[in-house]
Amino acid sequence: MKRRIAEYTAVFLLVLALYFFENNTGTRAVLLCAALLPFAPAVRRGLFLKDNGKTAPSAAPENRDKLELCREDEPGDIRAYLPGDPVNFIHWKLSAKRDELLVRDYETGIAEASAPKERFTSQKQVLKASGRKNLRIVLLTLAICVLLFTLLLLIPAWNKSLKALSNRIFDLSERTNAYRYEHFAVDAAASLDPSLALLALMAGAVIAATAMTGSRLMAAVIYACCAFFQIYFGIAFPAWLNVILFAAFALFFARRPLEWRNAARIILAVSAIALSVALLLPGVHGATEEASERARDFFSRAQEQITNGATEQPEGIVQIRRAHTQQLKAGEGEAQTGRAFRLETELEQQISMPHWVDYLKIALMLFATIALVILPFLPFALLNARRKKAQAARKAFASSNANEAVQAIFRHVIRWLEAMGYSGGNRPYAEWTRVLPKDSLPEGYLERFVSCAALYEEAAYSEHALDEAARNALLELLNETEQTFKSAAKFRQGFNLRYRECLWV
Amino acid sequence: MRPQIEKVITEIEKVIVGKRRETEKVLTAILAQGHILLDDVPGVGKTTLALSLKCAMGLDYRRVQFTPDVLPSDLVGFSVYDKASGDFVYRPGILNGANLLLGDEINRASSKTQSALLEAMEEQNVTVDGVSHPLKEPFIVIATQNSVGAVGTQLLPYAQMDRFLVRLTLGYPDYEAQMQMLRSRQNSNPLDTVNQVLTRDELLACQRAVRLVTSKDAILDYITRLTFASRAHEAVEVGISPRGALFLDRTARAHAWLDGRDYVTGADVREVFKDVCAHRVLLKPQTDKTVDEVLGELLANVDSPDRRSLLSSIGKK
Repeated sequence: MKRRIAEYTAVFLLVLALYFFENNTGTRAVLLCAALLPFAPAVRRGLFLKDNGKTAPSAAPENRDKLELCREDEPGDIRAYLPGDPVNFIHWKLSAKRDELLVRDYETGIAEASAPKERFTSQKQVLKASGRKNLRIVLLTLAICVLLFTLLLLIPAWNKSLKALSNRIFDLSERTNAYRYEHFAVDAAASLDPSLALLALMAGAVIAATAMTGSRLMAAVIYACCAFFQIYFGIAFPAWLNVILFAAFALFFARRPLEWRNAARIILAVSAIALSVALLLPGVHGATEEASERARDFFSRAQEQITNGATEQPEGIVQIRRAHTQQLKAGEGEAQTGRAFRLETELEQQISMPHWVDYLKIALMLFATIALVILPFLPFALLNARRKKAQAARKAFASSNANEAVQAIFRHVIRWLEAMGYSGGNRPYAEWTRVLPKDSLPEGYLERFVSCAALYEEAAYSEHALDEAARNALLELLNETEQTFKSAAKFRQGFNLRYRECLWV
Repeated sequence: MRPQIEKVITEIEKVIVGKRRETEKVLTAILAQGHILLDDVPGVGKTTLALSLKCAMGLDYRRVQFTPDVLPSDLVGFSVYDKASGDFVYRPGILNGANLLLGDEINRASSKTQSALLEAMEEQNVTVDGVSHPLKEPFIVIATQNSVGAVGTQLLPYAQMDRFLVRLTLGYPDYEAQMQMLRSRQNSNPLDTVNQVLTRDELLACQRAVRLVTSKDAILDYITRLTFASRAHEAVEVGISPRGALFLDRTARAHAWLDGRDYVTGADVREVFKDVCAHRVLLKPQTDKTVDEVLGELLANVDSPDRRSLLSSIGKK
């Protein structure tokens, strides 16, 4: 109960602080921060690493002890929840630096040589089935949203507002401007609020749907998009709306108990991100707003100078040209001199061609879009590269040379420990027992670890040939290690599943 | 711990109370056929340690109390003219009869005397008038030097320190150990109770066994990287010499053997690293680090062979 109070107090304070921050500085950073929240490593660690999954906090508050997590024994084996490649899984989730986590794939093959394939398939099927179910919900929600959207377009106020919004969004080059003046002409005074509210509504619906499917990543992506639009296009939700969105988001992610230390980490991370965003991104903060305004002025002045200030009166030039032509046709006046004609043509060409500044804008926009689209898929690219490595490791496990196998298996155990955050660094492995969490390890684990470390050293540094008993002892240790840490790993695997679902991969 | 060495330690512990670690280090150095430099304040039992070693292992013990007046010929012997035969006859010096030589306050000896001793340490024989006289096997020198009150003495030059396998300090005993020491010396000298538990031949056999201990390439690689890193360290003027690397390997093997293994692990190297290398590293004068800190940094920063194999197995080096 105390933890719950701490958690909610922390979130409340955070939201309050952000409200004042946003209100007083005019920054739009809050939403971006919220969206970045799950990706900040420190925060992720606090939120996810010690998570044990789906247990409701009220159901078993005593289980919330962080060391307790590892103790919870789940009868299902580790491989059970990993249809894809658990190692890969853990791998990119935890950190790109640690390749160790690939191992899980390995064990599936080794320790369960008898029936690894069946298990694999059945799990895949389970995954697919649950994926389909969630997919249906998400698709249904999206369909409802689209329907709602289309209906609302029929109402003039919405229609106008959306046009104004799209004008804002595509306010890029002269060419597109010309197009929009022609096709999207609306009152300058048209209010953006209805369409923004509509967008928020849709976002809320999708978030609700993702909440039903248990997919937080989807929500995070939506928040990121909201923040991106606000910042890039200078659309400003009112501060209170941002704060409400953020609070919902924070609570959504903070459902599980937050310790004070983790809460402090979150606050720290969010403040750091907010500060850097506010300082670095133009258009976010009041002060930077001015700077970016100046920059925009500079760009347009540069554009103006190059085009001899003709940017503003393309119509005039064309009219003069037309007048000349008509006069000539009517037999009045003189033909234009070559020089005047050339000058006019030049001006015209410059006007009709998007200037380099526009190209730059378009390139930036394209880049941002591509980055946004590619980003979520990046892990999968890394995943494949790592799967190969994991398979190479598997070969060593079953090596006919017991010495090699013992070394490979023990290294695997070490990678597990490192992946779980228990690293003895440069110390000899036998001394790693000092950094291991003694309370949460099974009876006799440390002793077995030390004896296996000795076996490893013998395999690595002596001329002795080890026997199968050594290999089996190591396999047992590996098994035990996985069992011990699987609950933590399981969450990450679950996260991976949801991630895949979100992306419909 | 090998049983025969364990017995020796038990005997020594009767006299030197509460210094098991240091005793082990001394024995490790002896097994590695190296010489020991004890760098410590007076009165912490350096001589007693040497005496108890002698008693426990039945070694021929000699002691030299170095002063500026001790001459090289006192150590290595000299030739005198024998009237009867009309020839020069070699009179052995102190070194010739010794298995275990305690050179007390070696920094008080003149530099030529130091050189004579160091040559004998390196070559295991002495040469007088062009004739070489082999020393007894084993030949172990335990030299002491006081770091306090060193005014007017000849501190061992860096090059000569390099020849000692290890430099150790005994340090003060703790409260319990000192109380026990005082109690045990009320009516008797505990040195009298030390029994010989190892013969000289057994000791030589142990030394031979140490030479058969395996150091795989991974270990030699570790030693090499450690020494290279010491030379490249920003605070170091002169790093660990190749001889230092050799001694490091040898000591690590002795350590492994003492531990009951016939192969060296990274842990052995780490264990003996500071003792073997502390006196081989010369720091730059402007640095405010101590040698101990620098060596600690090396141990922390240079990948251990365990770590190395882990990294290479995942393709990172």
